[in-house]
Amino acid sequence: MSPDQGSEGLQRNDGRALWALASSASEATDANLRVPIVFRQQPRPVEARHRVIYRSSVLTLVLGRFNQHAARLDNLHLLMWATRSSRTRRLLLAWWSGRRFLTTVTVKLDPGLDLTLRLARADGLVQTSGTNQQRLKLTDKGVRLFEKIEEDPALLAPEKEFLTQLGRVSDGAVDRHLGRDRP
Amino acid sequence: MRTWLRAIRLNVSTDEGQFGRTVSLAKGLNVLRGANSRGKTQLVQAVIYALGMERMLTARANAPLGSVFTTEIAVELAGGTERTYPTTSSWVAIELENSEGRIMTAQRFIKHPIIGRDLVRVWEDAALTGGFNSSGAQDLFLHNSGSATRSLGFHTRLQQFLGWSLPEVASVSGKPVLLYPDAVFPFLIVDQQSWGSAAPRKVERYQIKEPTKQGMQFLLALEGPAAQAERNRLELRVSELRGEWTSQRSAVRAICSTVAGRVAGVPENPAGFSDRAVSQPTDLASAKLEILQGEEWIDSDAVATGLNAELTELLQAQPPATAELRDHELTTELTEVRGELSEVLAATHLIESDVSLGEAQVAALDRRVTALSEERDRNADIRTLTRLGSEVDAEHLADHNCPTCRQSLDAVETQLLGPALDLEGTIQLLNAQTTTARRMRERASSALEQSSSGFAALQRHGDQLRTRIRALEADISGPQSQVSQGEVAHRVTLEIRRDELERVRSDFSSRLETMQEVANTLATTRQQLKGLPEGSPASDIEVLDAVTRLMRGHLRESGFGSYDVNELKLDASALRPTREGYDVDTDASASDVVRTKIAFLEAVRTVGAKGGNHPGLLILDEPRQQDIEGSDFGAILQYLARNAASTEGQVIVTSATAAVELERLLGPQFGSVQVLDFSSHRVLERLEVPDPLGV
Repeated sequence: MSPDQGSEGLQRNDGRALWALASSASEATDANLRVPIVFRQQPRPVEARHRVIYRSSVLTLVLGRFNQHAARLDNLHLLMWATRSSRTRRLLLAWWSGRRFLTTVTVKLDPGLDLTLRLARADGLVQTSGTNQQRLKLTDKGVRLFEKIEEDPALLAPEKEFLTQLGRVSDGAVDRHLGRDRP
Repeated sequence: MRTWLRAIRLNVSTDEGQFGRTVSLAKGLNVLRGANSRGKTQLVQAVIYALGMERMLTARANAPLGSVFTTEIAVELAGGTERTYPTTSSWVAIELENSEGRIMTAQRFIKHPIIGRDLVRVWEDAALTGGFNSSGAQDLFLHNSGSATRSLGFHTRLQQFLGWSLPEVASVSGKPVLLYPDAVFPFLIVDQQSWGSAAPRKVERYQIKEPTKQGMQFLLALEGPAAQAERNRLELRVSELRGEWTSQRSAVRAICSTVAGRVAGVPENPAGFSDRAVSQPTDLASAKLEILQGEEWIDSDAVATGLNAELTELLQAQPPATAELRDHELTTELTEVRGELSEVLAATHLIESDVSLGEAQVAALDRRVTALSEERDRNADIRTLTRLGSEVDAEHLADHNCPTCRQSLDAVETQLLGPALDLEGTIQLLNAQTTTARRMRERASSALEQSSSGFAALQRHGDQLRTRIRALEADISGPQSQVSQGEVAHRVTLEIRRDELERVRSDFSSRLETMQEVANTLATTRQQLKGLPEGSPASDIEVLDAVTRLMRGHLRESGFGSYDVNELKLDASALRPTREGYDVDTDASASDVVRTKIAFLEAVRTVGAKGGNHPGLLILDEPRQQDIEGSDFGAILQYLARNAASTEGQVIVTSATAAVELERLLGPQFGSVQVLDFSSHRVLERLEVPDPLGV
């Protein structure tokens, strides 16, 4: 088959013609295909929720909204998980308001929280508190950052709106709303 | 209208008698001279209080006058001893005259067992300097809603007296609010606490956006703001018209869907919808209603004609000759109609899956757009958060390094991802993706709209065919003498359909007329908007230039030395004295700030009294601040006296400068200036006869 016939086949977009062209590759077409192929790794976007700055700021915001700026680790996991997307926010709000039965597992883990907490503690934004050092609490510096984040209503607006919908948040409130026994 | 103060009166009643003072003032420059803490400031405060302007000083409506008026008065007895008497009641009053020759006296109590502070007694004659006539008093209210708009509000009366009609200006939230007189009066009265800034006091309590600028625009009667107000009005009109168009369009679409039709030739947004030049309004002449017939959208005119023709044909049709022939015809027709129905059902089924696919696609794209915009907002937030991090010293937020080992945190974020885009790149990418998703959504939704109309039309057609089949079946099985049900049903359906179509067509055309009107008005309004002048009109620039020239002249005379006077400009947008790159309040010596303030306010007074709304009145409480040189203070007094005489206005200055020095400083102007000297006496002195204005 001549190359002319091949291109006609392509124009007709005929599958059989394509197969025919592929199976009877002449030397000429073979030569045409001998082009050096280079693979380059294109930079890819990182999701904002994986960015350290975003994570630390949301952590500060969530802790700041808790009563006395302090929360238990499991509750922190839950709320950090919930701020992730509109779906998770809706889900938690449904549990919170009692629209959805608590039959599913309401203990949620935010995989990156451990690292975020380590960075925030190293930077002096967060400290442990409570009798057994079981709770996490914002330091004065953390509170300053929290207040600055709160100043600009457009900053982290969806997260803020979500947390505002929960009303007053505290460890006790989470236990009550999600029907948990106190550990 | 020019207005000047004829007299001020203070009165304090105690059980031991009354104390008070009436100060008569004249046009031109008045200097109230007296030693320190004798009560000169009380006179200025009395004017502010009697005018109901104390809220320009503080947010709360406290009487700005001292404890003498509220608690007790100390009286010096012979032999140098002092005795205090508790104040039982107290009031202040002022007498004003305007250039029409009208006189108004306003009296307001500070302390009284019955009369409250939000009441002002007003006489339309000279109750202080002329004969007192107690019957002419009218009580007006103050500091309640409507005090500047209702006829019994004191500020309404005051505006009438000043010849003011205060404009509505933009509030902080963009809504229109009245420019309250309290926001304008800082240009007329300078109290002792406000000498720290070259600009007049800013009155923020009414939520007026840029109150000082608005006050200045009003006093100088600048035309720019009127154009701006017109622009705001037209923009509001445009947005109303846009709303009207959108609602009419969806109404038209709803009407058309009742006859399984669609609208063609009515654009989603007419010309002038967005802020672009409009050559001519959108023309709806080609707009039409189309109905789905078979697989084609046909103009409703043709459909109506077809329906009419079919009806006529039915009426004229001859009944079949024999029963066999009739049965045969019926059976053939039934087969045909059944065939048609199964075709229609198949098409409906196809198009239904199209619709549900389209709906799913639109919903998915909606979710995608939302998610993308949220992600973009988050990335934009990260920029702000980096700045906040550096403000509170949170290192890992500010420089993106680990606070312990100081290594970059890039690797933590990207882990297995390979090279990552930076923040700006990510935002750009997300923006591009959002745009693409939005376009896809638009296309998907218009395709969905088409399929939905088609689906509705086919369903309708199917229903009609079913009715026809039922009627034909009844005809075949029914007795032959009966009137053919099939024909009756067919005729009724056709008639209903025709009437329905006619109704919708007339509704459609009347709505199109409304929409055409909306489109025309929109285009005209857009053109009017384009025709409005951009920036300040030439006349405004002339007025502001005149103020600037005068202000510079005053500053040169009064020995301004911080920098070259020509560098001081009147900023066209803020309308206050500015020097490029500097803060005039802090980057000049304190005495030069005072010089600037007097020079500026006096220039506004002179220019505003000639061609604007300025009443020509300026009251300066102790302008000799910050050790201004005697000669410079003299120069200030001289230009104030000169201007006050030439503009037929009134300037009132309080000063503790010695009488002899004042005479020397005023030089040749001394003769034209009224100096009221209290020397070392207190302003309040014992009255032998009780004041007739007391209640």
